[in-house]
Amino acid sequence: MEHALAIKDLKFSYGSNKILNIPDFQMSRGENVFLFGSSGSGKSTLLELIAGILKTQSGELNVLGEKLHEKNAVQLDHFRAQNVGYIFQSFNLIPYLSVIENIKLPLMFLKHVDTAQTEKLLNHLVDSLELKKYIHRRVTDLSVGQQQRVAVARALLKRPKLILADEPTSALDYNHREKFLQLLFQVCEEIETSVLFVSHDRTIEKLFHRSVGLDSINTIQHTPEVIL
Amino acid sequence: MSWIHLAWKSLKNRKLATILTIFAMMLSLVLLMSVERIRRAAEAGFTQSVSGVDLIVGARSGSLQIVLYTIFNLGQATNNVSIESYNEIKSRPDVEWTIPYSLGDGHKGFRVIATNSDFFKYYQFRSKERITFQAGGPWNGMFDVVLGADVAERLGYQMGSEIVVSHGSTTGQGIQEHDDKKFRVAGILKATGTQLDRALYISLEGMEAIHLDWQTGSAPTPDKQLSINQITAEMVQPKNITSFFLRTKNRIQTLKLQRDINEFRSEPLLAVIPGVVLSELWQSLSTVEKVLKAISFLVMVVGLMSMLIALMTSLNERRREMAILRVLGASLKHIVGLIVLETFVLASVAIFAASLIKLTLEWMLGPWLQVKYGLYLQQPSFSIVEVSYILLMLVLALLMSLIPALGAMKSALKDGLSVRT
Repeated sequence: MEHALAIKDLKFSYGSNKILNIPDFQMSRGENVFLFGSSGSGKSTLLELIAGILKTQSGELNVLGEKLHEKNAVQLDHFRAQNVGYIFQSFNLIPYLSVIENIKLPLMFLKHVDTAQTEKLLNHLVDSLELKKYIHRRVTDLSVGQQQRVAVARALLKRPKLILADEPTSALDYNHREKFLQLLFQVCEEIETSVLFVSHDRTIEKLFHRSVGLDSINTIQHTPEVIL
Repeated sequence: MSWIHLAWKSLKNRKLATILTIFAMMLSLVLLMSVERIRRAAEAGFTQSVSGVDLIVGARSGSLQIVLYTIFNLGQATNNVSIESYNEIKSRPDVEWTIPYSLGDGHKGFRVIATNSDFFKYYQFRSKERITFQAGGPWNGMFDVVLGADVAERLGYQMGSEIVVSHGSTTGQGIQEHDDKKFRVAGILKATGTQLDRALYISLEGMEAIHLDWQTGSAPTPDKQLSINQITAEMVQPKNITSFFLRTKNRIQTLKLQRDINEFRSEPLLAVIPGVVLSELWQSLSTVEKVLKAISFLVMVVGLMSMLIALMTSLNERRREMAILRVLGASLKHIVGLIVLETFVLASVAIFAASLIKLTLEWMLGPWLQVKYGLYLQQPSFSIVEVSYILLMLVLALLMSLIPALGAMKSALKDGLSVRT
């Protein structure tokens, strides 16, 4: 089966500061993976590499069958616009746009949009994420949970094959976290999207198909930062 | 949603800074364009007080002097031109028409010009505009007077009003009055926005008539006064004029004619080409214009700087926004494009508002400027100069926006997705 993500000897450093060295890591299509690691362990760097925000330095990085290590910056931007949905920890949304405008924002970066299909999916997402009532509201009027659901709808509207999520549940309490994840998985399953979810909080790992520690795949070990 | 929509919403989100920036840019543009429009009006009123005239001829003095006293009522003629010389030049085959001026008298601060009916027939100002009447017409009788528009308006004269001409004073209140021979208003000219509006026009014969009984420059004693019905057509044939305008049949003959007049045998005359003298004179007065222009440009720079400052200060608080756009697929080019587009929207709104205000101001203040200062705002409202100011503003704004745009790109590159605000 083709991989959603296949990493081979991926190395990355900021100057002399080595961050990542991942000899081997794979993720199947449709798989939901929980990747845990402490702050400063290189989680964000890995996500930025997979999203094509950062360029690889050495090694191979295959995402959805595309060789990111062979692409230039423009191709990476295009790849990201087309294939990757991203959900931030918080501050996901553009504050001066309405809910619907935020959800539709990624379409601006696509070359071709199937309007009818997109409209159908939009209605479905809005319905299943329970956002119908709010679509014309300002996003700043929404609760944190509602904002995260808007972010999910936005990430999924272009039918990406891969969702990258950077601790999107950290602002929610446990009950809401579980509900949020169930919703996310349900919608992702419908459009056959894999999820790579990074967090330092392992209380929710059992909800995923697989849980992996970044330290177990990354040969560069970081001493955990003291959180003040 | 389009890019322009996104830029607009983003600007709206920073309402106060946006409005202030637009206001500063708009003000600078309004100032720049207004100075240009007034300058143009002043120059036109000045250099286009007379057109279609090839030569102005007067007694020999300075060329500037002839232009000043003939057209602008500044200074006096040192001598007259005899009617014989005038007739001789007038009847040359290369002369198409002439307009004689006999000057020296005034009325309540306005000058009185004695001329003949050729004045109404041939006089042109600006580009080929002719004299037209708002009421009445040229004189019929010897004691008829035609008023310039400003004279009628300022002094409140109407058709049929009686007017006393003052002797020898063209700028202030007269001392000696020709009050035994009153003039009657027979016509009022339409406003022209030139010196024409600020004069009264009588016939050469009328001028001659009020001076018939005057000896050695002072009013006659009552016993020596000539009454109006004692005056015959014979008596009022003019003997002198002050100067005259001349049109050649063919422009090529102008220089030859000018030389001939300057070498006129029977009396010392001087012929000047008014266009040359007028534009020389305007050049020498244009320092003020340059200072005004320099100030306007500085204001434009201030407007653009305030735009730059507003964009730069917003950048830091927008880093998160840029990171979101990046992750959704925006390239660095998109980020630069968005900031430049925002600037384009800012500048366009400012330009639109400035144009609107400029037109409104002109519409409201135009008549007042004309009456109060004799500034006639000529068409077109947007000349090539105004349009180039607008384009300059737009281009400079877009160029300057590259500074914050590249800054945004740089911080987007550095931040990646990990901005924490």
